[in-house]
Amino acid sequence: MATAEFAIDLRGGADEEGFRRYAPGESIEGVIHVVPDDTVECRHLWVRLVWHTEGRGTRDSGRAGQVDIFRGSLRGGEERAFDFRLTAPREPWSFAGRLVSIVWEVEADLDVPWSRNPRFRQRFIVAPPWHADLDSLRATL
Amino acid sequence: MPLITPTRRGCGGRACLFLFAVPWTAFAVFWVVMAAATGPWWFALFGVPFVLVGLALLIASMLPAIVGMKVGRSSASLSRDPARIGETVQFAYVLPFRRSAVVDRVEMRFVFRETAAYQRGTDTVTENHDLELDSHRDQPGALRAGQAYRLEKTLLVPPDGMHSFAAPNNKLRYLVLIHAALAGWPDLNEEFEVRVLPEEAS
Repeated sequence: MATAEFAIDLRGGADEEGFRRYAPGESIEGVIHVVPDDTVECRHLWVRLVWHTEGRGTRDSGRAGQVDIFRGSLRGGEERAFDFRLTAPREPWSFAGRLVSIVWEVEADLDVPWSRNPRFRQRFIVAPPWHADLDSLRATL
Repeated sequence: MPLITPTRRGCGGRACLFLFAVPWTAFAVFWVVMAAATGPWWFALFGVPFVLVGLALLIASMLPAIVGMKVGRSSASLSRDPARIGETVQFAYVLPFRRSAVVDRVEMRFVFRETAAYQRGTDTVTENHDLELDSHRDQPGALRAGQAYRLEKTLLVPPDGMHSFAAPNNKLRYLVLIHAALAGWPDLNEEFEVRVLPEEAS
């Protein structure tokens, strides 16, 4: 089974006590660092913006956009870094309530043949700059 | 002003209850009659509670029709639909009466409702949590046939609030809840959704 270590550095937006916050429609830029355990042939390295709900209800999820940032060979133990740029979705905004929370994440998905894709997700906040109620959002991250 | 349709009207959906109550009651009555005709009279008493339960189910299932004999179809409108975050909208509600009635009270609540649905065994459980944003209470008293109860209210969508969100199992909605208590008649409950866009009011 293919495995890899990931790290995602998000840039742009605003810093909210260690988390990146982006306004709807704002550019989300970042760098994905990948270190595969073994040499793999990468069919795609997808970067996606995905949301899901948390709380009492059955989980709902959705995707706002994706880019394919690399195809080719990755050598085992060697770190590679790839830039990406996506646009923050218009909706839904991040939300933390009593029964329902909405969480946004950047997902890195390494598509390798004949194996389960190694994946990594990092959370971020989607909220307009004038939206003041961020304390509860940070509590969910 | 654009009209909005209720997400819930009258006393709730009772069609399934009615379809269940009819055969239940019919069989219970049939059983009691047959038991009285063929056995000792006291044997038929065993079926009487089942008949009473059936009659109660029938009455409960026909509550909307019963209320409809007195109250006409309500209408509601919003000055802007959909609304935006931080915006004030005018809500207007009209409840016409077909016959004279005494309205003990009308309560209006503007709430932000979180709805979460999940599976428990083979059942789907739905939970709601309401955050009350505004409320209004009236005591209209006696209304004659042909008159209407009217309510106008300015609603503020909170500037730091969330927009409306609907997924299959999770929902965030702004609702106007109307509860009218009619003297001697079943209460009337209605819900109207105020859709809110993910945009700031200019």
